[in-house]
Order: sequence, then C-alpha cells, then structure tokens
Amino acid sequence: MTRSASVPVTAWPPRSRRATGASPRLLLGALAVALLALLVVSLGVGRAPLDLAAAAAQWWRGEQTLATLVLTELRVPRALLAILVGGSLGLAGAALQGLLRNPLAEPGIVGVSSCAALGAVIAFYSGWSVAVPLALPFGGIAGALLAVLLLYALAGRNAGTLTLILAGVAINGFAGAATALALNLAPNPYAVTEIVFWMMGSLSDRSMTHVQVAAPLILLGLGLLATSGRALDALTLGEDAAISLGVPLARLRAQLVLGTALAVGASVAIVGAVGFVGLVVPHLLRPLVGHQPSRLLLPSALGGAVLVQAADIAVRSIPLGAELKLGVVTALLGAPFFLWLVLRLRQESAG
Amino acid sequence: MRLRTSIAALGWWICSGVPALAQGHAAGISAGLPPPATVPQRIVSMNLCADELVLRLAAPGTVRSVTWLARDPLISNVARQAQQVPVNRGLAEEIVPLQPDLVVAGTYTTRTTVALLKRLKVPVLELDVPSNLSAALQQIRRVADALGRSAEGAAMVADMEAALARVQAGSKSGPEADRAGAAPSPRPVAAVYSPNGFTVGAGSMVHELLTRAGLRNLAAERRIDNYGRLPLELLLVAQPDLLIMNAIDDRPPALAYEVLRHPALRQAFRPAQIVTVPPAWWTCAGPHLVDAIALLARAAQEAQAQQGSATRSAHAAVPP
Amino acid sequence: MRLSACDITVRAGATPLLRGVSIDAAPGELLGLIGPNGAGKSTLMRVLAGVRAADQGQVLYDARTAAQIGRRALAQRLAYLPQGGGSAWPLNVEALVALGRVPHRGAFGAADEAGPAAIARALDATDLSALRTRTVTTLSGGELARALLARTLAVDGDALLADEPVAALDPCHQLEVMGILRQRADAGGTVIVVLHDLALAARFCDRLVLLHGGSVAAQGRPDDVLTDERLAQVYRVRALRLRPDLASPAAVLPWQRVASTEPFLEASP
Repeated sequence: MTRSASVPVTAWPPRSRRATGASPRLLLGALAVALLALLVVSLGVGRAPLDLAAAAAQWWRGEQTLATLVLTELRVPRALLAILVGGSLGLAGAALQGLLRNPLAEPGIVGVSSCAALGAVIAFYSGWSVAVPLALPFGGIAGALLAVLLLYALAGRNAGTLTLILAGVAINGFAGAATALALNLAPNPYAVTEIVFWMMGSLSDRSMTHVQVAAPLILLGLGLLATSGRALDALTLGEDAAISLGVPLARLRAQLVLGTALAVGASVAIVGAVGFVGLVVPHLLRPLVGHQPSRLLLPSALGGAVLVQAADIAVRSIPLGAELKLGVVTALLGAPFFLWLVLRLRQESAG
Repeated sequence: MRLRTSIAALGWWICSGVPALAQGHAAGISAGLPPPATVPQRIVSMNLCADELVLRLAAPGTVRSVTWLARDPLISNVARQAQQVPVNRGLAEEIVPLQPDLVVAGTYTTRTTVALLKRLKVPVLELDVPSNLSAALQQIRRVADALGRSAEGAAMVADMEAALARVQAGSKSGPEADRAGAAPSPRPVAAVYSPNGFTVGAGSMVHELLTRAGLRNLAAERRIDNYGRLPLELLLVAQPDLLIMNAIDDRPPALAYEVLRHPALRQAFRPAQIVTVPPAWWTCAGPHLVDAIALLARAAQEAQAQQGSATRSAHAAVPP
Repeated sequence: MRLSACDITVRAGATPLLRGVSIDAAPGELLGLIGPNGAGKSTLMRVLAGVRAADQGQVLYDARTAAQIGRRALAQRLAYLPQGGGSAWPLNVEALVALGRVPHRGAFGAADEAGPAAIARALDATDLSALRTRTVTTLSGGELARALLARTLAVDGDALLADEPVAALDPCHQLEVMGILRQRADAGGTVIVVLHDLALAARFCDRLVLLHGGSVAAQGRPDDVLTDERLAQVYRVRALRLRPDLASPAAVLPWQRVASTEPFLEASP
C-alpha cells in the first residue's frame, strides 16, 4: 500500500521503536514541578538584592515595603508573563503542528508571531493603545489572525513541508518589511531602534497592567487550543477519515485559528516575538507522549512555560552589561535545533 | 509637536550620552578659527545648540538661517526669535545657496554638509557638547568671538555667573543651615531617569548641574559612567530622594517611555519627589542652564526640609 | 444499518461527477462498487460516508439523514476507510487502531469503556496483535493496510465503507483483507467496497454496482453485472471465465483489450 502524498508520513527513522511514551500523569507532574521550581527561582533573581522569603512574608502580612514593591510590581508580572507567553507559544506550536500535520509548523516559522508584532506595532505607535490599553493586544491578535488565515490559504490543505515553509517565508518577509516601514514612519524617533524589541522579545520591566490587559485574552486562546485534542488525533488519518470520525472540520479550523490568534497575538503584543519555543518544545515532548497530538497539547504548554521561564532567568543571570533579549536566548537554542531538524529530515527523505 | 519630541529626545540623548567621548576635552573642540577680520554678516546655524547662541548673540539681521528645531518651544529657548528667521534642515543644498560667511555646526551631526562647506572654503565653527559648566561658558565666549560680538558674549557669561552665584548662595543659606547648632543634613540623592532607563554619570553636564544645585548624583555614586542604564529594580532599591526626568509629553508613544511610566515608579516616589525639567533648559549651553540649576536647587531644598522633619516610613531591610 | 442513496448528483464546477446515482446496501451484504477510472466510485463513497455533500439527492441511513442522526452518532455507527491513507505521525499500531474509538471518546478524554475490547477484537481480526507496539513507519505495506482496516473495525459500527483497500497489496494480503470484509458482512454488517480487481469483486461480493461516467450502468449479482457486453462496453475488455470446480462461482479474468474486429478467445473449461 502506498503512502499517499497527501498525508505525509514525515521521515522518522525507520527503527523499530516503542512509541508508547511515558505515563501522561508522570510527564505532566514532572513539568509542573519544574515550572513551580523555576517560578520561585525567577522571583528571586533580579538586579536588586532581594530577600525573597522576607518579602513574601511581608506581602502575606499585608505590609507595603520596598521589597514587596519590587516583588509584586516587577518580579511577579515578569514571572507570570513568562508562564503565559511560554504556555501560549508551546501550545500554539503543538496545535498548529497537529492541524497542519507537519512538525515544522510553529508560530515563528510560519509567520504568525511576526504578523502579530506588526499588528501590535501599528496599534502602539499610532497612539491607539495609549487611548485604549486593550488596543495593544487586539492589534497583536488582528495581526496573528491575518497570518493564520494567509497561511491556511497558502498551505492549508494537504500541503507538504516545502509549501508550508515557503508560505512561512513569504508571510515573515511581508510582516518584517511592513513592521520596518511602520516603525520608520512612526512619529517618535526611538521607534526605529525599537524593532529589536518587537523582533526579539523581552520580559524586562513589564508591569501588572500588562498582565491584566493580556491575561484574559491569552487564557481564552489557550482554552480554545487545549480542547482540540480529540479532533487533532483524528486528523492524523487525514481530513476525510477525520470527518468520518465525527470531526467538524470547519469548526475545528476556526477554533484553532482563533485560539492561536488570541494566545500568540496577545503574547507578542506585550512581550515581542519570541521564536522557536513552539518548535523545540513539542518536538522534544512528542516521543514522550507516543506521538499522539492530543496528549502533546498540555505538556507542550507546560514545557513552553518552563523553557521561557528558564530563558528569562538566564537572561537576568548572565552578567553582561546590557540585558540580553529573551528572543536571543531562545533563538540561540532554537535555530541550531531547527537546522538539525532540517538536516535530519533531508537525510531521511534521501535515505 | 511630533518633531519637538523627537528632537528633545535626540538632544537629550546627545547631551547626556555622547559626552563620554568629550570627557577629555573639557575646553571643547572647535575649528580653531582666528577672530574674523570682518564681522560675519551672513550667519547660518546648523545645530540646535548653535541656534540658541547665534540668535542670542549675533547682531540683528545677520542671521540667515537656523535649524527648523529652533522653532519648537519645547526644546528650544529661542523659539520666538527663530520665527523671524528662515529655517534649514542641515542639507548642503540649503546652506550653500545662502552663501554664508560663517557656519556654526555641531561636531557630531551634519558631517557631510560640513565637509562640503570646508571644501568650499566656507568658515565653519564646530561646537561640541560641553560636559561641564565652565566648558559651556567657554563655548559661549568662543561663539561670541567668532560672531564678532565678544562684548555681548562676555555680558551673557557674566549674567550667568551672577545668577549662578545667587542660586548657590540661596541654597547654602537654606532654613536648615540657619538653625543654630544643627548639623546640615546630608545633601539629597537624586537619580536622573531617561527613556530606556538611561541615567547620567559623572563627567557630564547634567551631573554638574545636579552638584551645583546641591544634589548628589545616584549614578555617580554607583559609578555608572557617562552613558549607562539604570535597571528599574536598582533604582527602586537605591531609594533616591528625588527622581528627575525630562518634561516630555510622551506622545507620540515609544517603548522607550514605557519604563518611565511603570506603575512601580508611581508607587515608590511621592509626587513631590518627582522633578521634571523642561528639556530645553539643560540640553544646550546657554542662560537656561542656570534656570535648570535653580529648579533643581529648589527641589533639593524641599527634599532636605522633608528629610529633616518627616519620619521615614519603615522600609524592609534590603542589603546594600 | 441499511444505506440508501437516492438520486445522488455531484458536480465539480460545471462537470458532473455523479448523475442520478441510486444504490441500496442492506445489512449482511458485501456490496462491490466497480467501474473504470474516473467513473466516480470514490466520489460516491465519500458521499455515502457523509464526508462530501451531494449537490442533489440524499443518503439515508436506516431511513434517516445524516443531519437527523447527528454527526457523532453517525460516526459511531459508520466507519470509512479512505483511499491511500496513512498516518501523519509515527504512532504505534495500537494507538493507530485506537483512533477508531474517537467517536466514542468523550470530549475531555472521558472513558470509552467498550474501547479496549473493540481494539483488541480489531487487532485480532486483522492478525496484528503481535505487532501492536510496533511503530507504523516500521510496517510493511500490507501490515499498514491491515492496521488502517483494523482502525475502521475498531469503530465497531454497523457499516463499513472501504475505498480500494487492496489496491497496492500482494495477492496474499488481498485475499486476507477481502476475507475480513466478507466476515464482517457475514456477521451482519453493511459493507461497501470499491474495487478495481474484477476477480475479487466477482468472487467476494454479494452484489455489484457498476459505475460508468458518473451513473449506474448496472447493479445486481456479479454474474448478472459482469456480462461480456458490459465488460466490452464499460471496461473495453474481454474476460476469461474459469470455474475451478462446479461448486465455486466462476472467476472473471480480464484477458484482452477490445478492438472492434478482434476475434473473441474462448478458454477451455
């Protein structure tokens, strides 16, 4: 029986392998513990020397001191955003990969993050977000929505890896150029240099206001994405088989498009485009969940949060003069990983 | 409105950041012009700081053009005067047809135009950014000499020195010092906070303004050199008495201003502790420098009064 | 489940793919859909499975439409094996077969109590129990085909629609798969299968529907449908008919392409 080109069995090494995966509870538990540990570490790391235990105790007692100020206004928002943004990127990566049946799909590569940045840049520098704070995440969401719709138009149905990557290149190119144009035209001269923030991302000096504005939208998007597991499982067999298994395909697409746009769009609007999280995390976790899309969703969210939290801690711990941008760290990890992945896929398809 | 902010930002950046390069040149660089044989009659200025000195010191009718920034009241102290004079954007095609007999420019900007003018044998006076008051006063004298208006220059310098003396005398004879027997309170600590979290270190003009106003510069005490960032956490933990910022209307928006609007700053500093200085007052060499010092000195005195009378609220033990 | 298609018309743009097709499949029956390339067999299968909507006409499942039954209920009762399928992810065989239980799974992974038993039965029927932990990418073509068939068996539905399940299999596996489908029909299921192989169709199916150019050219028992005139007209071939013994039905072997003046070769009985 030939394997149809329309449902690519991506080139995994043809070794006989137990693909049952670890127990899901064990994996989720381990990730949750790691996340909590990193959260505590993150609250304790910063430029100012802070006695975390003392500050937490004071906060608990309701005292308002300098230490609690630093803790609640600077460190807590940073840690919360790391979790929300990391979770969004990880989950969106896993969901996009399930929908497009391609392990290379990820918000950064396919252009969703850069389009979200474009939307946010327009909302911010035009002054809309000064008037209406919610305009900022909605700008990001609008940009992300545009990207996903474009992606689907270009590479949605049974498109191979090549088409998907080309679509991503096209969308990234367009978004990057448009963002540069928008920043160039922005009235404030700082704008041109701020492209670094939008393209690389940073959690520095975020406040609870940012969290309040973005969190509801991110959580809504995460909810939409997290409930698509069953349908993604069925999609493993192709669209026709999935429909016959009762998957409402159009509704699923809408759910995933909207969920990705909400989660990634709002995240990028607040923090900038952080890349590669949605590629690395699902890829590493997939073998541990037996390659089943539904079992990959929640672990990818937790894993993404763990990765971003760890990267943010690294960014603050490395004693360079200027603080490294978050996206630089994830890119340093993710880009070589991406290269390795492409090489491996090439080897497999040739061999 | 948009441009004023942009140039205020740039001016602020140049004057507070770039002086690191000029640190060794307290006297300032110039093109080393000899006093002109004749008084220049067609003066062109290609630099915001030069605009102010030229418009203040030159003989009426001799100024052919100043930069367009000079008309923005937020960043220019001579906006009214600049309305009477044509403006340029520092482009060679604008300057050369004016056939100037003296061009005043900055050492760090409009380089290509200046190079062209020099090739055309036009006299060019280049002004750097003075990193302290005496360099600023020297610059005023030098510009006046090049304009053939030495007397006016000397008068301006004298006025400034007198005003400065008044300000400093006022601050020394503050209410605290008058109280017999009481040891004077230590001078308040001020932190200057700019877009992107930059501050000013020792060796810059702003540092001297602070010092003369009776303040201590947080960045200097932490040994942050001329052009350095002060992370928000460190700023909060250092608990300076005063937070000094540029009085910039932050529209149009930029990410650079986000840190200045962080809720933590509003919670850590009472409104009385936040001092805003109009950017035009401390961007360029000129009489308004003394106004800036006076503003800072008043803030310093109030902070000292607060220190003396109010009890400090208990702050958590933060290890130094 | 009784499946009835009434007057189905499907168009792709202006081109009609199916014209006024009506067929009927009863429980316990193995119905073969045959016809030359481009006759519309796969399109008809997709319409019967509810994957594609017909432009005109309707499909009734036990006298009710898909909308009346409900998407999930229909998915639990009707299993569809598309042509040339595969797996996008390297699952193991058991996980692949378990995908057939998706219609029975609750929204948040609620328990599917009949699941494990159904999966085990499906693996058993397709002789894959020994391979249940193998990754699907390590399977041979025949094994993968059986795994995908096992997936449809795991649905445990009343109807099974298979589109060219044996197209690229070797003879041994072809017979194996047809045998499984036959067993399913004998056990009371409604099985519809698209086949290119006339010999298999004639041998295993209870009834055949011959499609030609988007409409039904003939339907009925294999002997009645696969007459010489029909074969010449629709397939443009002549066939040998061999009877291994008196008890077995005749085997129909396409033997020669038809040109108008070629003499007809009789096989010796």
